[in-house]
Amino acid sequence: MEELTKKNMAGDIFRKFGIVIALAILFIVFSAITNAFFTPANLLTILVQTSINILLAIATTFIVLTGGIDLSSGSVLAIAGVVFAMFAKEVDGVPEYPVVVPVVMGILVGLLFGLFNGVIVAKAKVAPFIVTLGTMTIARGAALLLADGRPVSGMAQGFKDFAGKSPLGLPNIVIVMIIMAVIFTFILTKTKFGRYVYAIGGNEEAARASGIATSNIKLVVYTMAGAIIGLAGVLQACRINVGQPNVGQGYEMNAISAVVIGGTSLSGGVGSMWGTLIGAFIIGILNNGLDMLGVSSYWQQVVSGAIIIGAVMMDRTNKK
Amino acid sequence: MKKVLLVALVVVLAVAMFAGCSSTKEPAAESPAAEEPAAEEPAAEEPAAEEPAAEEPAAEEPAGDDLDYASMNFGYLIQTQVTEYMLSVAEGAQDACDELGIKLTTNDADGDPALQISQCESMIASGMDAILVSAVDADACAPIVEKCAEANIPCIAVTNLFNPPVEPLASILSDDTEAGRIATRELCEAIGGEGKIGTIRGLAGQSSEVFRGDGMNEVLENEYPDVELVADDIGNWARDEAMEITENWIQKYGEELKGIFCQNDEMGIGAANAIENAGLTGKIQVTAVDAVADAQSYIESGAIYADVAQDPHAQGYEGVMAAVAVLKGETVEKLVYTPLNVINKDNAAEYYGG
Repeated sequence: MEELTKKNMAGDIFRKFGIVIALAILFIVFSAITNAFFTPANLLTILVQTSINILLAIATTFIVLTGGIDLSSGSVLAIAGVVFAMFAKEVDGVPEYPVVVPVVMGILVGLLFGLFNGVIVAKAKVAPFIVTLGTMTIARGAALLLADGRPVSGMAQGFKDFAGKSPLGLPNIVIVMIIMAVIFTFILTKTKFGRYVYAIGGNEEAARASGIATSNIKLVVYTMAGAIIGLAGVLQACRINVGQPNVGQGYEMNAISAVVIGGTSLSGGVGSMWGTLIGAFIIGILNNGLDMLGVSSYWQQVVSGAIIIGAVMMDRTNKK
Repeated sequence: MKKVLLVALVVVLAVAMFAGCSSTKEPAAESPAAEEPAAEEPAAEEPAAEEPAAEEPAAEEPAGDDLDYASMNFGYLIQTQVTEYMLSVAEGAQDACDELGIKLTTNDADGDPALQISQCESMIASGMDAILVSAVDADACAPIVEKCAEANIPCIAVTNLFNPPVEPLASILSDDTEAGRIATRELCEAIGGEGKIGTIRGLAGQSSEVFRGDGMNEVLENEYPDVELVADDIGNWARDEAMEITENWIQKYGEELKGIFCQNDEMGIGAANAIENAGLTGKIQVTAVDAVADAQSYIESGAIYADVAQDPHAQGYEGVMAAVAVLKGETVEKLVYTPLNVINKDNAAEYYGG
């Protein structure tokens, strides 16, 4: 028994610090090879570039912890951005609606898709993989329909400025990301709701038996995740200055990768928010650093894929 | 039991939804043709075809050819309807058919070669007089040309080439290699004929990616020995990806990088955004291809130094005209390139205004 605990602890340490070590190695290697990497400006660039993925990964972490998965985040991000852009238009230099309207509409669209996922997963008991695979296609199609297949442009200049500027020292997008990360780390670790999320992923039957309203918790998780993804869509649209219905293809995979690299088990119940954050930074630093080194983009894909497989293998080994 | 019922219900609903979608899709695809009832009516009553001779297209008939346009049906196999570019090609084909009074039916293959082939089969079965095709895939869609030839229906390729040995009667498209050459030349001129540049490519392996890249390489090698291509990455035609790549390059090269050739506008706009955020507009030049509506403000402000405009509308339009020429028994050029134009600060207003 004691040995078992020791083993678990060793696994825990490996899981927790393995990725920190990986992150550190990436940092050291890139800094050593290229001067352009370890500069304040480049580190800020990495932060900005990782922010959107971190938001999706935060949402995905909650879902994966319940034992689910979200394949629809990239598409939902796209439709949220499209809807946001439709309401963010400028007519003769004057925004058509007050700032809050497009932002709320974008988040609301995300929330509704999340709710849709949640109802079907939690109430109709369809496997999350299938549900979100369907939602992925539905949201993409709906985004293309709404936007008539073209980018929705003409958004008020203020939104682009918001995404590009950093009046408080850090770029605005990064500040939003940090606030969200703090809030949802708190929710996951310090609230009853957070503990229920872990409990459901660990053993849903046991959780239900102990009086947790498992399907309601799941419903809230998916809906909340949808809203976060909606916010990410809004920020992304600001950043690229357009509601692009084709944007975000493959983002769901980046988010899932960040979660998995961060040590969260795909079967649920085990994992942490800060692991996810580090996972997201590993991906972001990898993309940035390989660009800095001038590695061909073919090789970049090969390397990124290998790292994801490596992370999942680590997850498996820990379970045994 | 309840669960089973629920699942059954969902399945039934889903099936009903898909059935609903597919049944409404057909008329929707034909709706552009239905918009011109004037041209369709005479087709419905064959013997009365002489009557609407007052109509413009019909009036042309006796002039030299014996084609009865009003009774003709053309089909257009479009590769996808989700890009501005393809929509413009379709518009061109529709405009040409409207002018002549031909009924045009458009089928969207949604990027699926197998679907496009079966759509072609249905078009042949429905007795189309000519078929235009923007092939989803240069190899996989070869049966379309062969089936049309067997059925003795003129087949014209627009926008996308077929790989040899497959040969449609005519191919009408823009010259991607030349577009790459022009955009690269503009970029090299913008940076004064020397310095470091980067290029952001489209989806690896697509013909437009390959040929635009070939054009670039050719110009760099033969005309601008002092321009050095130091950075080369794939942006998958996407704005966000090109933006990230450019941000990284700015960190790596700073102002040492003088220019970026992006293989389409979406990526050009992404690069321009990143450059603007870094406060380097004008110091790092951008050239791109397509000159879509969205690029207007970027070209006017100089954030995109030059943009190579293709003419998708002309591809659709000339495609129909080539099919008509074949039906008239005239000889047609096998390969027609639609004109390319350089759009920059000076002529953007005119280009977008007109």
